[in-house]
Amino acid sequence: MLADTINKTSLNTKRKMQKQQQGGAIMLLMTAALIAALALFANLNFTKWYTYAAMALISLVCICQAAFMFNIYRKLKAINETEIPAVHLQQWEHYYEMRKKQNKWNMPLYYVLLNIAMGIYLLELFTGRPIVNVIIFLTVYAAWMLFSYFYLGKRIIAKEEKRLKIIISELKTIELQLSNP
Amino acid sequence: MNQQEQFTALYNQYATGIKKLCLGYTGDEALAKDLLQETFISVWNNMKDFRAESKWSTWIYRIAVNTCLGYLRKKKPATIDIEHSDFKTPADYENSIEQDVQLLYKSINRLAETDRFIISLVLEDKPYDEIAAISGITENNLRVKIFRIKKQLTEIYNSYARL
Repeated sequence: MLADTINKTSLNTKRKMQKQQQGGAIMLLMTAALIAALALFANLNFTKWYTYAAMALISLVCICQAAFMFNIYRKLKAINETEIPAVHLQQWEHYYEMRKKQNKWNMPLYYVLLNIAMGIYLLELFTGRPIVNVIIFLTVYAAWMLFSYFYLGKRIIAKEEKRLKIIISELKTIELQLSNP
Repeated sequence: MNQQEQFTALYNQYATGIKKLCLGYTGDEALAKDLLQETFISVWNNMKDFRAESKWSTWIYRIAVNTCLGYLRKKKPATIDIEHSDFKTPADYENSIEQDVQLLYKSINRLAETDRFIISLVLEDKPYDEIAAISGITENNLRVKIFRIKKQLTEIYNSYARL
């Protein structure tokens, strides 16, 4: 069939972006479900209530992030290719403006909440363990987290912001070309 | 007529013209094929929402223009350096019409993004009112644009020809 042939060979970027968000949201929901299932059915025998609370918080953070990604998916889906070019370009511009704003708070918030939950979770796990092991683990964990947040994360955000700025500026240029005689 | 049959009919009717439009945009045969495919995926996905407020051709060409503009936004084509390019001059082609057309496409590729689709539609012999409907600009504005684009295109074409 013609439509099938076309679908198999094309590289539709909007669909690709949608799939990325949809796939990410599904993975996060599965993670949340797995952690919740472990807490409820796996006989973990934790004695402190806050350990279970930490697991619940991790699940909740994953669910919230999944909802956030699903919302981006919906925004992408709403971009209409059948509109006149000026309107279509504006829709993309609004999308990228939104992403630019979201990038400022989403990753730091996700990161901080997830690490708070992990910190609480590890409290009971470390009780009664040799102090040297705990210190080694925490040092490696903290070093990795700080490196990934302050180096990798910041670099990714800066790169993404630069990319979004270029895209928005190009969209404005094309919009201007359309409106000027 | 079901959606599949309708789609096949639309593809058979408009694919050649859309490909020419995409070729005018990119100046590259393979990329033009990719954009043609992307256009018809969007056509398939949006067919059920077509309300017959415009002609099928206007609607499909509008999708093609949006697809092309999206492509250019993500990947700008390399600027052609007229002085140093290995581009063949008309003399090399022994004045064949086919090579003149190729030269024309290369010249179009050097225009601004929106100018490329407007002149490509003009070359497709689309009536001005339909080009205005596709691009969402007034017919008066379109006429001014076309006059300016033709002048600019002639200059680019002649600069190649002088080499």
